[in-house]
Amino acid sequence: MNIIEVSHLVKEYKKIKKESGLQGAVKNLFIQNTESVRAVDDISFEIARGDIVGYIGPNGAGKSTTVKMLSGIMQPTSGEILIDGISPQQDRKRVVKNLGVVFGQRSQLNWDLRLGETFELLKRIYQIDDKTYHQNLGMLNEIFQIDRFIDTPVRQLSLGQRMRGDLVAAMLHSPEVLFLDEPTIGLDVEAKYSVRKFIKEINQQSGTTIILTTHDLGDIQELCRRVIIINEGKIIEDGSLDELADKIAPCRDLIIDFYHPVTIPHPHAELVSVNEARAVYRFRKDEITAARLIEDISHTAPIKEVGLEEAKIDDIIRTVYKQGNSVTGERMIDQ
Amino acid sequence: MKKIRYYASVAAMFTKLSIQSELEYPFMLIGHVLANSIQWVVGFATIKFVVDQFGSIGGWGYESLAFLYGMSVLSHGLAVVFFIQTWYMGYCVIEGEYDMFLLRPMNLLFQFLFMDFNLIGFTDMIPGLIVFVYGCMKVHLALNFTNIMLILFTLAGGTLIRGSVWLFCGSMSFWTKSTANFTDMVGELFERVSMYPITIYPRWVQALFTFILPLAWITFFPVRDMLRMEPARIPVPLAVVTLAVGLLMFAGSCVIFRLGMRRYESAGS
Amino acid sequence: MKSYLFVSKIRIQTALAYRFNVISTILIQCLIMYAMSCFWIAAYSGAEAVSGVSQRDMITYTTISVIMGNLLTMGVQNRIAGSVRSGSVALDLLKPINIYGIYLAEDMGDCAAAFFQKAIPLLLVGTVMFGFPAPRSPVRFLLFLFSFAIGYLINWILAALLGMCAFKTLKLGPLANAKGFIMKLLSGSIFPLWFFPNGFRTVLEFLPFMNIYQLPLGIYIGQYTADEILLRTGLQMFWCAALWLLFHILQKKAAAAVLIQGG
Repeated sequence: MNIIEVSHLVKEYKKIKKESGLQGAVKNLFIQNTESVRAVDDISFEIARGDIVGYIGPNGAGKSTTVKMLSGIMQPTSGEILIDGISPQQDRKRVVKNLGVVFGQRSQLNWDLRLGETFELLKRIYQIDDKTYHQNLGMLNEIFQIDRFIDTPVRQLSLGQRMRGDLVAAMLHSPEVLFLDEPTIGLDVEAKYSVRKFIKEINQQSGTTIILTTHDLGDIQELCRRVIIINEGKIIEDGSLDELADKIAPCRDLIIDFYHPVTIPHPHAELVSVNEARAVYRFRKDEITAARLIEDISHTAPIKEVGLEEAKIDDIIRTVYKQGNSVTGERMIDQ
Repeated sequence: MKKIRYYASVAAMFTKLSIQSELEYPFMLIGHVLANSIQWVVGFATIKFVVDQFGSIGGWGYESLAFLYGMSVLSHGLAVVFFIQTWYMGYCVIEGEYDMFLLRPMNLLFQFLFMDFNLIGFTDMIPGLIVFVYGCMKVHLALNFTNIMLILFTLAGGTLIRGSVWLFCGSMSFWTKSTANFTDMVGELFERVSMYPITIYPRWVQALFTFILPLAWITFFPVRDMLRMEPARIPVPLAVVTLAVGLLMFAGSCVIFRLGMRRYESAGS
Repeated sequence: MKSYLFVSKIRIQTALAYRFNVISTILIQCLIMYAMSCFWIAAYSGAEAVSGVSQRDMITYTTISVIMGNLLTMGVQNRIAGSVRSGSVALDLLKPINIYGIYLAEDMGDCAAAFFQKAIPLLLVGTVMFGFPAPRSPVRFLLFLFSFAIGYLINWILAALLGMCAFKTLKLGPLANAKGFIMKLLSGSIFPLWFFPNGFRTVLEFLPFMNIYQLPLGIYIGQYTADEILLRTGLQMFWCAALWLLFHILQKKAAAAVLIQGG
């Protein structure tokens, strides 16, 4: 069942076009020209209950704008959003009751107070009863060990601790949907690991649906069953990472070290390079398996060692971003 | 009823937390007490010096001016306690601070007004109270039930009028997207019309401050009524009218704030 | 020098961009100016002269004072405090240019913008309402300009000094408020000191604040004799130099402290 349904979502900004220079500044005092920019351009997707979805794209692609519209902070220019059947634009209060949002760049914790005091405030705001509150806090504490710094003023917390605090704050009222906007930004390896662990466990224990925007592809690789890639306001890819890899980079490299320098061709693989006793074969996954290839080759010459190289996720994503650009580039020429 | 209790409990928590966070900086608090005391004492001394030189201002002697001044400082202090957030609305718009309100299942204006209860504002009240009591003694105001009610009505109305003007001016930054704040200038204007009798202005300015920009209600009309300086023209005490004007202006500013928030939602930050 | 001029120019441009702010500022300032003049008319209520100053002089004084108030707005205070709080102060000090020079250039740019946007409209409105606020004589006017320039610097240095307090306190809060009140009430911007009792007045005349508003204004309306002008301008320049020296020393110290701590 789909918990989030987005159809034909559009967000247009009016940008004031200013003329440059002192003369321009005087002129702008009297006349102002505006132009509209489409930050989000006709986006549609559904997200199933309990899914973790990575929402990625280069800077300025429209990720944050989408998240803001989904969470009711921003009004779309047109299109419809339904979260658990309710539109955040029509009934904001009911939707946000069921929503947790964390912006990695901004904290909702009160700077001057102890972490626990912000939680107390949220308990009142979301009308969480004592039992649920303690239950949730207990569960979240098990994953995060926040009781070690729950009595520290927020301004004294490290960035990693603060992010943990923000994540707990967003989950206190047991929302069914969690939006995370760059939750691992600026965190060290350890803190990143624990944030990822948190996301996984929350998803497993409470069945929370999670949408994650990030620039850290490690997050995506480890967490997301599905990725939506957006560029220049349009969705350019939507599917699982594996599918994406198969589509963008269908080839893998098999590296074989022989005992002696040999050159053995194979009908289903291209011999990319031969360097002394090492040979690199490139093959399509859908044509032949690595095991089969190794077997075939080992008939001809004894193999000392093998290695298999997958296409790197960074490279895949970069390729996707570039393609997106060239698509819009063509469209611009059409106009 | 349940809703009122819910909002009251959140308001109490907001208040408790903001007081707590202000107590984190005790020197700030002391500093504000000193700074505000200097301001009101010097301001009051200035009135005394000027009256000494000129005799009276617009027909008002030193005693009644002292009373007017005290009343004005008190409602200023109260307005600072409850409406200080309105001074920083430009920053909040530019920094996207209102996103947080939109993410919480509560009324937006409520969150905005109660989020930051300003203890420091009470530091304005201390010198204000001293001057006010002094003024009461000078004009020999009997502290009976009627007068106390009139004073409370005036303070409530005056606070609302000031707060509404601030809220209105602050809400402009939803449209202008700039951090410029008019607090200082508007404060100067408040001072001009609430610390001196408005009879010093020509008729058209008096009309302006009575009907169009009704700042004369902050102190002037109710105080003149209380001191019985002129025969009553309407059967209701003017302090009641002050409260009504205050409520009306507040309602108007709330509408502007709502429109501003709508604009914020459509423009983003 | 060229880079400082460029900074000033940029500031003028930004100021021009805020149409709404400019118009509402002018409206409110006009009201304030009008209200203050009415106050003096009511206070004089027909009296010839009080403390040797006529009603006409007081209206001129008030009009010019409001205009000066619009030219003397200082961004430097919050700029320094802001850069200390955000930590960008260390980067600023590493730039191959004097950061305080940049701040001064910015404020001068604001001042220039305010001259066209606010001072001229206010002068026009003032003239329409109460007649042209003429200086006592052309010579006095030139002396006024000189005095105003020194006053501007004193005001700027005081603001910069206050901003430097942020190195210690991080937030300016009450300090900024207190300075605001003191400037407003003790500088003669609203009530000239000659209406104050003698003892109080003598003390205030030795403090730097009156050099910002009252001295230039007093010269403008011809309240001071030639000897007094000479003496007071000397004192004003002394204050300017002394405050500058203080600022210079503190700024060196603060810079050294920042560079050692690394921000």
